[in-house]
Amino acid sequence: MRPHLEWLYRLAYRYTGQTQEAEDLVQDLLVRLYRNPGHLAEVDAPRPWLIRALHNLFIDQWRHRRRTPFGHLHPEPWDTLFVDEGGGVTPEDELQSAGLRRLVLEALQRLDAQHRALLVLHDVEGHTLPELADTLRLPLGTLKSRLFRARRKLRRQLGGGNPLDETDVVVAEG
Amino acid sequence: MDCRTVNQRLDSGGPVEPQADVREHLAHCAACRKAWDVARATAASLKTLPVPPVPAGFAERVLARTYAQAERMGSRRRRMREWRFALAATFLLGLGAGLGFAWNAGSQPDGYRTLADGTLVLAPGNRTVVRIALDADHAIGDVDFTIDLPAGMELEGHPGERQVAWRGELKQGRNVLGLPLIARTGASGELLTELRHDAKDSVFKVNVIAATGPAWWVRLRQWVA
Repeated sequence: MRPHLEWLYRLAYRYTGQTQEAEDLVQDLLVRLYRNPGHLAEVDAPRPWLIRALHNLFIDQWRHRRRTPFGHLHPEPWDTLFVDEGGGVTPEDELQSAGLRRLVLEALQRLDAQHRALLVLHDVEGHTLPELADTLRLPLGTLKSRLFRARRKLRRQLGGGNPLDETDVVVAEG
Repeated sequence: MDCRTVNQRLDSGGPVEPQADVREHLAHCAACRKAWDVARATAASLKTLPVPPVPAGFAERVLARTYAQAERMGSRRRRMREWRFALAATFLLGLGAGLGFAWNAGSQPDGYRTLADGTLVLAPGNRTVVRIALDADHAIGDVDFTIDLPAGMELEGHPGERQVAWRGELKQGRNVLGLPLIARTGASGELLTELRHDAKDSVFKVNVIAATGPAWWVRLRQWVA
């Protein structure tokens, strides 16, 4: 497992947005694997298998936390990750600046786990939808519609919504 | 092309370079132009999102915790198994221990045979009804019953008596003898049930212990095993 730990951590961090949570998520995954070591040993390609396992675990934990009064953790500030370079004039200029990448991250964290995870895997990590359909064992059509909604929600979080799309408006927290 | 179509194309296809019909709409629609710009910039930002470096000692720490946690879970599972046994035993005793004996005159020289035996673990201080099932091929009258109790145990209604005896009868089929046992902590020994009829007798032995704490677990494991 050791060769996989670093990329698992990075993916977990993309999901959770918190260093400690990312570490805990990876550890929880390892504990599950430890309980059923035969699962991983039997697969030919461990990486897709681990991507699916981490994805499912992240969503399971997110759902569980949503049901508990103690589950919500505010995203930690990303100040240590960014040097605020100030904004530009156009939205594109602003979003490409380091300061506004933080806005994208914060908006990402406000999405629900399924949308967040799909955006991470597709738009951040660069997996294609057919690849993800195979890896996550989900129908391609489901992923397409999920990605459509995820992008729309993220865009609205960032102020790029269209007045005609008001039916699905997501109100940003905090 | 209207705004809805432009937005649907944007969210389904990703912020690629707009096609001619989209560009034409964007040229005169500020809202869609903004949406398109935000989407394109967002996509660019997502591709360059930073990730903090992997914390020092991450792999060693996670692996060590995993082993430790897995070990704790193993211990917990073992304890859960023991609890399941304990709960099963408690439930059983709460209803009465189902010890099956047979009164089967004629099949053996003494006329009796034991169908089941074992060790009972009682919660000390509580009244526990131990039920003994006696199967008789036919009705038998004038049966002398004698119960011999281990030290520290007594039958409810017979305080301080180590032996209780009476005369009764067995009906054909299953007869259930309910013994309301009360035991002190730590008491243990053989509970003897003796049946005598027509100069033939048989004794059924059941090991009974009343214990809590480690002794309970030790003996309970022995019993379950």
